[in-house]
Amino acid sequence: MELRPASYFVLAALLDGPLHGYAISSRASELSDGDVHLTAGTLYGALDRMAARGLVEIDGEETVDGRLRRYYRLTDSGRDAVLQEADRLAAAARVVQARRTGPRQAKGLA
Amino acid sequence: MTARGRRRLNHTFTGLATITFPKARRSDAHVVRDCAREAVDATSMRALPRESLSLAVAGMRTRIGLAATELWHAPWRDALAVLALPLATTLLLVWTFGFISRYDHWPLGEGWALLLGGSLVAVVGAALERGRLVAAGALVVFAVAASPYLGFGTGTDFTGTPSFYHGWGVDIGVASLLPTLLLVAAGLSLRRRPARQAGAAHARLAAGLGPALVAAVYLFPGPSREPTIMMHYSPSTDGSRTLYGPPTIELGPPYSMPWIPESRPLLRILGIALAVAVFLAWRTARTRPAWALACGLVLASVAYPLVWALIRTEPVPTPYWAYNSGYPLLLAVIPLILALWQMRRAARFSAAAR
Repeated sequence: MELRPASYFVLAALLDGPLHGYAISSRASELSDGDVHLTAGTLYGALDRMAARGLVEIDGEETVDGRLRRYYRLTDSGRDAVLQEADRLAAAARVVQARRTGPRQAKGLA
Repeated sequence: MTARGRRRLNHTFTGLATITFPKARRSDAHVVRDCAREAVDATSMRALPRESLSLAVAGMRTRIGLAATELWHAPWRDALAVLALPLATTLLLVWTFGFISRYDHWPLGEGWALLLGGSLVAVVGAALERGRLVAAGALVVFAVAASPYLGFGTGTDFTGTPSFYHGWGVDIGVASLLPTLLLVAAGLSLRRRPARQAGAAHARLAAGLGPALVAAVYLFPGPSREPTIMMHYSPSTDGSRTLYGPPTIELGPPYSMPWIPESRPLLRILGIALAVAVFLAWRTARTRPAWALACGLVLASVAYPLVWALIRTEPVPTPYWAYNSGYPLLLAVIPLILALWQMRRAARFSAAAR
């Protein structure tokens, strides 16, 4: 199951434990070095879709400073999905890395 | 701007954007809204338009998704099934009106025979709750009604008899096509039921045939064939001038082609029946969603001819441009929206009942 970058970083943000919406958005942005920036509407749309696919589930709700926060956590299949995607990306990266380092080494030897 | 002012602005814009969420997802809307507020507070006011727009889009998407889900799971089969008898009755009534107005034109072309026969079979099938009979009758009617538009000569049937007639400027042939297809679907949706008592079937049959019989009694004798009026002028010359005296009038034989009058009574009957059905279905949508769905389907299927008839009705003042070019097509959006609204409402009640 291939994941979009936004979904990948949302799932990655939840690897450390349940988070609420804004915390997920901040963590995803942080993990992606600012590449992934999710507005509230986009984030909850993505979370809804991931919940429908069984990747995440609602952990609970609480009100902080009069604001309602909903916490999400990874399901087992969500964890598997993000780990498999990480492996896939790592394997794909290795293919390029091998070719990038190869000629350099060759050049150094010459 | 003060912190209080920023907070107020944040609350106002995100609060307004949350209106786009459906009532059923109010709790979700509050969660997303509060997340957006938190994001704006944590970053800067420049995030406010982006977050508000994102909220509004998410709300609209949720609303559309919810509506689509509810419509998908709505009791369409029940809705189509309840349509069978009323729709078959209406089609028989429509074609009876068309036939009666030219009953003096014999022999009856096979086109008319099939239209009347097919409609009659559909009514009998609906009364006896035999779905295949309904579908077969309706399919025959559909094929015959569509034939002039498939190259069998516009306005004429296979034997050259005029097939269709106009109701207040509406071509009944075309106007009947979508409702006839609905009747086919209604027939296919009728569930096999244990045989009912004969009395119930007779009552349904009487209800199905009644309007057509009343129409026949009302319309017979049809419009009399009027003689051709011929006026002869005999000019005389007075010097260089040509003088015309009063014409002499002669009555010739009746016009050889059947007279095809516009059927205003039919349009009135159909219009009133549709308005009453839409109103009652709207009122009872909570308890009978299938009826409201059925009514919405019929309204959608006749949206265009309905607009066409309405803008040609004297009590509805319509500017000249409205019934020229493509405007009637645009105006048909109004009944279509009403139909969608009716169906959406019924689907929501149905979902709530589940």
